[in-house]
Amino acid sequence: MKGPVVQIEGVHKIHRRGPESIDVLKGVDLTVPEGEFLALMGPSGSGKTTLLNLMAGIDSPTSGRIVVHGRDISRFNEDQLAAWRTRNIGYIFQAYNLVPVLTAYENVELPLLLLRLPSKRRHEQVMNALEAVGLADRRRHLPSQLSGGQEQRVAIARALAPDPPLLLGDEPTGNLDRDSAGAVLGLIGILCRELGKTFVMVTHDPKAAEAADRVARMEKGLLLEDRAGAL
Amino acid sequence: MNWLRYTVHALTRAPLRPSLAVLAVALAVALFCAVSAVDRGLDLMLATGARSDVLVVFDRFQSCPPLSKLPEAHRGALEGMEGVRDVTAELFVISSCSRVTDLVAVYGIEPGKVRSFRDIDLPESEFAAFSSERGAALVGRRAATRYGWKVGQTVSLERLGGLTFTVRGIFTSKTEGLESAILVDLAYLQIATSQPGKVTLCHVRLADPENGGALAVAIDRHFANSKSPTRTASERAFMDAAVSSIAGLVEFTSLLGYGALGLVVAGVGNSLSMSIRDRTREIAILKTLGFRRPQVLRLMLSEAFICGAAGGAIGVAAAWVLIRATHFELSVEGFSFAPALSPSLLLEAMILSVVLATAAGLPAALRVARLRVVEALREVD
Repeated sequence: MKGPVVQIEGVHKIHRRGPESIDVLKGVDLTVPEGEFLALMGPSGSGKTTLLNLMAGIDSPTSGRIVVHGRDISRFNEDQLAAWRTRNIGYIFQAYNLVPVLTAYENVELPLLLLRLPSKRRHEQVMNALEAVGLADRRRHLPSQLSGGQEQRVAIARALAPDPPLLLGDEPTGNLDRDSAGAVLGLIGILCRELGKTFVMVTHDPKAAEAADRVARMEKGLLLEDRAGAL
Repeated sequence: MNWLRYTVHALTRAPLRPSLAVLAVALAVALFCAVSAVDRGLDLMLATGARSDVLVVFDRFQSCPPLSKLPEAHRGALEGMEGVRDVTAELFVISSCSRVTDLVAVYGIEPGKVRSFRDIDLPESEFAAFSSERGAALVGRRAATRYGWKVGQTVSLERLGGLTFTVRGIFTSKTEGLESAILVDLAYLQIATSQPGKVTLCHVRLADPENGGALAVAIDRHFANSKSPTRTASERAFMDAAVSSIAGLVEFTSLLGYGALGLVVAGVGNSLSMSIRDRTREIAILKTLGFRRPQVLRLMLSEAFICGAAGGAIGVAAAWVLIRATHFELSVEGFSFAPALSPSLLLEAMILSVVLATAAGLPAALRVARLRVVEALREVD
C-alpha cells in the first residue's frame, strides 16, 4: 500500500459573517493515498468545496491539521502557501477559468513562469502537458476559439504542467455535456494512472463519481460515508 | 511569454479604458510641459538678458519701456559722467504694449556700438552690409524663421505704419528673446516713425560694476530737474519690473501645470481600479496557481507604469511638436521669450508621469494583492 498524500485530522472550519458563525466543517478526518482518484460528493453547503480549498491551501482551517506530502500546511502563512501551491497543487475549476486574452499555450505556461525554469524546459513542459490532453495542435488558440471540453482540457494541462503530485478539481465536469464530461474524466483517470497523480474531485454528479476509485460523501460538514468507486 | 506580455494583454483586453487613461495622462503631461516651458523661458530670458555691468536709463514717468521717451541728447550727458565707460541709445517700437503672441519688435540701434552692447553673432560681411546701408536690418534667427525672411528681402511692416527695411543679415544670440528682434539703424527708425531726436532708453556700461547703485542715483539726480527726468536701474531690475505683469501669471499657470498632473492620478487610478474590479476572479485564479502578493502587486503596478510611461511619452511629444510647430512666443513690454522646452524638463515630465501613475495604481493594487483567494472567488460567484 502506498503512503498517504493527504492526511486531514479533526479539521473544523467556521465561517464568520458579521455576528453570525457557520460551522462549515465539524471535525473531518480523511486520508488520501498516493495515486488515488477520490470523489467528494454531497449536497450544496455540505462543506465539500471548503474541504477541497483547505487541501489546496487557498483557505485555512479554524482548527485541526492538514498534512500534504508530510508537510503540515495549516501552519503556513499566505505567501508560504502560494509558493507551496506552485509546486504541489494543480487546481481545476468548474468554470475552466482560463485567462481569456492568453492562448492555450500561454495559459498552460502561466504557472511555470513562477518556477523560473529555463525557457527551453518551460516549453517542453507546456508541450508535454498539451500533448497529454491532446491539444498540442490548438496551442495558439484563444479560449474563446475552443469548445467547453477543450477549454477544460487546457485547464487540466495547466494544472499538470508544473508536475504537481496532487490534482484537485472543483466540479471539473460541471459545465460540460455528458459526452465531454465522460471524455474529461476518462482523461483524468488515465493521467492519474500513467503519471501517478493523486486526484481529489468535488462533484454533484453520481455519473462523474463512478469514474473515481473511491467516493466520500459529505453532509452538513461531516464525512458520512466512504466507499470504493466503480473503477 | 513573460510578465510584460501578460501586462500588455491585460491592458489591451478592453482597450478603451486604458486608452482614455493614457489620453488623460498625455493631456496632463502636455499641459505641464507647455506651462513649465513658458515659466522656464521667462527665467531664461531674465537670466541671459541681464548684464551685471549695465544700467538702463529710461523715462521716469513711464513704466512701459516702449512708451518711454528720452531726448537723444541725454546720451551725450551720460557719456560725460564719472564712472561711465560707454553709452548707447536705443529706440524701439512694437506693435503693442500689451501681451501678444505675434509681436514684431524693432530696435533702433547704433551700428557702431551694437556688438559691444548686444550679444549677436553673424558673418562679418552681413554686418558690414548692414552698417553701410541706411534702411538695412539685421533680423534675429527666430524672427527670420517665423516669417520666412531671407537675406536681401525687402520687408514692409504694415502694423508699424509701413516701416520698410531690407534684410542684410540674420543673427543668432545667446540672449533669450533677442533672436526674435529686428535691428535697424537708430536714425533711420527715428525718421521712419516720426520721432527725430528721441530714444527709448540708454544703456550705460559701468567702469566699475560694483558702483552701479551709486551711479544710478547720480544719473537720476543729474536729470531730475531736466525736461525729461530719468529712472535708472540695473538691467535685471529693469527687466523684472517690465515683465512683472506677466511673471505672476506665468507663475500661476505653472502651478496649474502641476495641478494638471492630478489628472494622471485620477485617470490611472480610476482605470486600474475598474480594471481590477472586473478581473477579481482572474487575479484569484493567478493566486490559486501560486502567485504571491508581491507578484500580483508587481503585475498590477506594471499596468499603471505602462499607462504613465505611454501617456508621458505622448504628452511630451505633443508638447514638443506643438511648441516647435507653432513657433510660439510670448512678449511683454518689448521683451520676447519662447518656451524653453529643455531635455531636463521633458525628462522631469516623464519621471513625474510614471511615478504619479504608479503611485495612483498603488491603492487598488495593494487591495487586490491582499485579497484572499477564497474571498475573491466567493465575491464574484
